[in-house]
Amino acid sequence: MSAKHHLPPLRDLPPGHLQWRKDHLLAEIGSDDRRPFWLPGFTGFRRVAALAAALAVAVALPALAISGDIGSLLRFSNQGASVDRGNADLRSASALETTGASGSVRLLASRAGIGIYASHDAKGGVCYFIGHPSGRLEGGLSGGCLNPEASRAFPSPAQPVVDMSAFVYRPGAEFEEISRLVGVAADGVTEIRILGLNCEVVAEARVRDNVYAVWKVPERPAAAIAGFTADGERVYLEPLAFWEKSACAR
Amino acid sequence: MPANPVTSVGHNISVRLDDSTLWQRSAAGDADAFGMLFERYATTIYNYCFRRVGDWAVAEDLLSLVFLEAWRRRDKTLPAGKVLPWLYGIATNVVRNRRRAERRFAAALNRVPAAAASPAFADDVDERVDDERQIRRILALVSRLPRAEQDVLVLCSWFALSYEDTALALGIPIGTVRSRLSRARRRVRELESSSGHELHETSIEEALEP
Repeated sequence: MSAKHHLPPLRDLPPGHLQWRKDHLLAEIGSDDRRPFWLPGFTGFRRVAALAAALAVAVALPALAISGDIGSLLRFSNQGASVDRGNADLRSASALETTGASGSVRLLASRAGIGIYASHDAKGGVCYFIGHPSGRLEGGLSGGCLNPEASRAFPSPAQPVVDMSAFVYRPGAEFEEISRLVGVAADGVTEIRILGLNCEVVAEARVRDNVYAVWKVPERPAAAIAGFTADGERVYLEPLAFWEKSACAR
Repeated sequence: MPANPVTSVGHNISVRLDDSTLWQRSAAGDADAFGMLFERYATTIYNYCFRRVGDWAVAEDLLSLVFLEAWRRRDKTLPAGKVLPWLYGIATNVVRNRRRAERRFAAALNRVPAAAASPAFADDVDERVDDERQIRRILALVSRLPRAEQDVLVLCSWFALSYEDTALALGIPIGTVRSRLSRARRRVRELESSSGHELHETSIEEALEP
């Protein structure tokens, strides 16, 4: 008998190593001039923020505490201002195309130097993007479309917020941080708060015209994103990674 | 591994950004776009490096070197959809000129987190040791080919690159890819016939198919 020479199988990196290597890579190249592609003039974007997080349109987990004016949580009054998608630059057009956002584009609002846009895809799913606030769809867009189920659920008491915040994961850290707070919310949600490890308020953003945004959030560990009504009632809670280790969960 | 996998972002949403878009953004200095390319192709390049050097831990460092070098050369204009062949090409050069690459990025390598630098193969350590033993036997045979033929053989046969993509990766004409591959296969057959009883039951080239 002779030995057969077979190529070893393809293997993944050891558990955790892909992320470590990526974090290291981004940290190394982060010394270059880095900026979000949708805001050419901005600098200081976090070294280890993953693009996936920057692109994330995180559909929140069902709210854990639901009460108050249910009707206001079913409405989304801001219809925005139409934007001529024919003026979109190459990167913005590419973002719209790759996400399937084929409908008209509306600028909902500009907050903290960020434009929040809405559109819809061919199946009627709602799409949200963040980008340059000029309304000219220049410099690229970042976002995505909700799937049909999520589109039907927003806005509702069970789904009053679509959060598009950017998260930061540090190698070896036990908690994640939020570097940018941005998203859209139902009429009845007036404030979004980031809750820290002891359930304290780390940062907050007022919701106006269904939109909230804080470009730079204090670099502190975060356990959850919560939404509140005008009378201070919590109507939305999105646990973040490691939520169960926080005091909020106890 | 699909060329352009859907990237899941958020709980219920998928966004697809093609390689060319990500590369263009990388060229414009968008490191996060480059990070997406890393996520997309790290495993492929990691395995390529392993199959060239026969050591999983070294392959992981080479993976970092490949992408650091790719970032350094991000102003390169690539044909549409050719990011992966380009990365193969960089990986080939990094493997070939490993010492030079290590010197160039010595400081960066020193900053690799200790956890990532350690070979923490929790569950499959035995398999990985076997992998290394097996690939080194194969590399011992393949190393008897001229380096240029090794490159073509590995890319075309082990990683199923087309002649066109291999030509782009190695910066040579397609005709040269064909001729080198042909010579490599002929040499492999010669090696097979002259390498003793251990190889009698299998063709080296067949065995080297993925």
